[in-house]
Amino acid sequence: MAASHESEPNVVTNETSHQAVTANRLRDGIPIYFAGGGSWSPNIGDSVTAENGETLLAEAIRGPLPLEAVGVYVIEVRLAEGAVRPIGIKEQIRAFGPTA
Amino acid sequence: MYRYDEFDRRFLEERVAQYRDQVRRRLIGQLTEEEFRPLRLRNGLYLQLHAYMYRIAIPYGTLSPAQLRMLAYIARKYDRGYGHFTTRQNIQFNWIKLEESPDIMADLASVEMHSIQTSGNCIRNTTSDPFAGVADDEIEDPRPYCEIIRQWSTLHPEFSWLPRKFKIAVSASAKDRAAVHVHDIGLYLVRNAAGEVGFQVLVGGGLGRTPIMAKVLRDFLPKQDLLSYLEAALRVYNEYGRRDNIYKARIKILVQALGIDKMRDAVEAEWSKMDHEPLDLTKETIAGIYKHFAPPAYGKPERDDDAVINTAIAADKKFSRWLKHNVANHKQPGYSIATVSLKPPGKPPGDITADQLDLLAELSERHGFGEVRVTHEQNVVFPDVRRGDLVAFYASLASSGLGTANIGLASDIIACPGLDYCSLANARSIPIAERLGEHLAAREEEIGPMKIKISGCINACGHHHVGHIGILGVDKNGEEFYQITVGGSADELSAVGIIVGRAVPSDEVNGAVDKLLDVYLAQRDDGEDLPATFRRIGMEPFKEAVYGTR
Repeated sequence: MAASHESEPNVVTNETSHQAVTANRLRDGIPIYFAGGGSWSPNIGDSVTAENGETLLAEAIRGPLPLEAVGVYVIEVRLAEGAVRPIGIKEQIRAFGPTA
Repeated sequence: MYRYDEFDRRFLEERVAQYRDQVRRRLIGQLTEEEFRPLRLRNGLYLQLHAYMYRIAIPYGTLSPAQLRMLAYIARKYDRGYGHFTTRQNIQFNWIKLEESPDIMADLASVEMHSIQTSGNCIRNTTSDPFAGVADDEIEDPRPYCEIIRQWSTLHPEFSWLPRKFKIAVSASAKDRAAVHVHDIGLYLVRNAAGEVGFQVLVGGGLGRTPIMAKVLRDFLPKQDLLSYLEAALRVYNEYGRRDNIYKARIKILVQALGIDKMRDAVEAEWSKMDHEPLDLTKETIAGIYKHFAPPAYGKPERDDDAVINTAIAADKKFSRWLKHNVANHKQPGYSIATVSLKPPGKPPGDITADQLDLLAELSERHGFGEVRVTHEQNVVFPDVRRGDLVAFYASLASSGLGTANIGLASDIIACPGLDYCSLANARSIPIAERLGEHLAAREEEIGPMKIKISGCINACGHHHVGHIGILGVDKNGEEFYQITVGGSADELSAVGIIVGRAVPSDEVNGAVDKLLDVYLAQRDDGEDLPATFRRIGMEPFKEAVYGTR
């Protein structure tokens, strides 16, 4: 499921638009992010990003889908002061936890 | 309460072993996610935003002290110390690990609980009146029939793959506390002209993207025919319900397409050609189930009960308010029905901590007969509190953050988990409920009875369509907005609320609700609730208050 429809108008997005790849971890369900080289991280800051997420997605699921990752999809992110920040409330909640 | 027999226990042991092996095979890659997903869902395990979510069935909302303590144990050991009661009288845990889920299932089985059929296109947990068996306006206790339906529907081979999920509710009072009209099949225990007790059968109710109130399928069904008639109705749905479009697959769409008369004809035709005998409920069968729900050994009223209460009323305004809003009449003299609010203003509706679950277990033993009921409004009912114990009971609750006196008032808000947890949601529900509840608490006495219900998406788990004021979260270009409805009702005068106007941003929800309430307070006649005022004066004054004159 692509999350690109969730771009957030209130966020200043004059940085270059980027994409990353996310999933949930099989054994415990926590959100994880593709960190390159076949590895995944629970920290969105470890994400590899690209202008075209489909390329990343292809790399992330190259060969058989890694057992660790369930429901892999591309998300929109922005790069601010060297940090990867998800765009859209749903991905922000996934990355940083419930707001209530 | 119903107690498992050897068959029930063995069935659950086998199910736990089967599920444990399925999880093992998934974790080592022998099952793909595509293969495993329907298996975990059949056992109540969903994958949500932050973790797996485990939905546990609470049959017709009834829990024993041992079960409450087990839920507390699960909250501490496998979750983050709390659970969430749902609008289907179930409980959900939001932070579950797949690898630990078979252990949870085994722990639940040890206290005669499970999570089977809390997901999937099957017959879900049958819900009922939380005042069942103790309400002073009840024709007959509906719980035995809920239990009969539970036993019949659990792993029913013909109805395990229905076009869509199927929900049944049973009530037996003039006052509908079970939202019967918004169920796929609703059952009211009624008395016919001859004085016999049977069922009025409703069909085709539901919320979601197509809210429809159930229609009468049969005015009077003898008790003995309950299961055969349900089976006939389910067969018609199973055969003719749509499977090509998930949004058109519920029985309400079939009833809408056929019309209630043709639906009735189809069910009656199916019923007439069925062999009823294997499903007939004999008096002995019903009596056997009834034994599990026999009234407890009530004591006689104490002479000084009212004196104790009156002294406390005079001394403690908070107790007085709690007594007014949270305590209802019991059919047995000397006893009361007390509802524990899980809606302290500013907190997530329906959430309960492990310590609070333990406290409820202890209180149910000290001030009752070891039983509580979860309500579809996300509160907990103590059905048998001695009137003389109400002061001590309240003191225990209040010291643990459970003394909120707001049952049926504006801050007693129903809310689904919303986008903070749910992968289907478009917008957050809990923060809206927290802020609104806190905001309205100061004026809720003046407002009086009020049902506010919030859903984070059109699936309507927060029952927003039937709120006096309903709030639906919508996504507008990635931003959360909230569509507001008025005039809905889930009681015996059930109605779907009407949209007031364009959706508002989250920071305008409190103000918009204030304006709707101002209209209601200014225009209501004596004793009128908001839906009644709405029916009388129409939408225009409400719309104008929120959006101004156009």
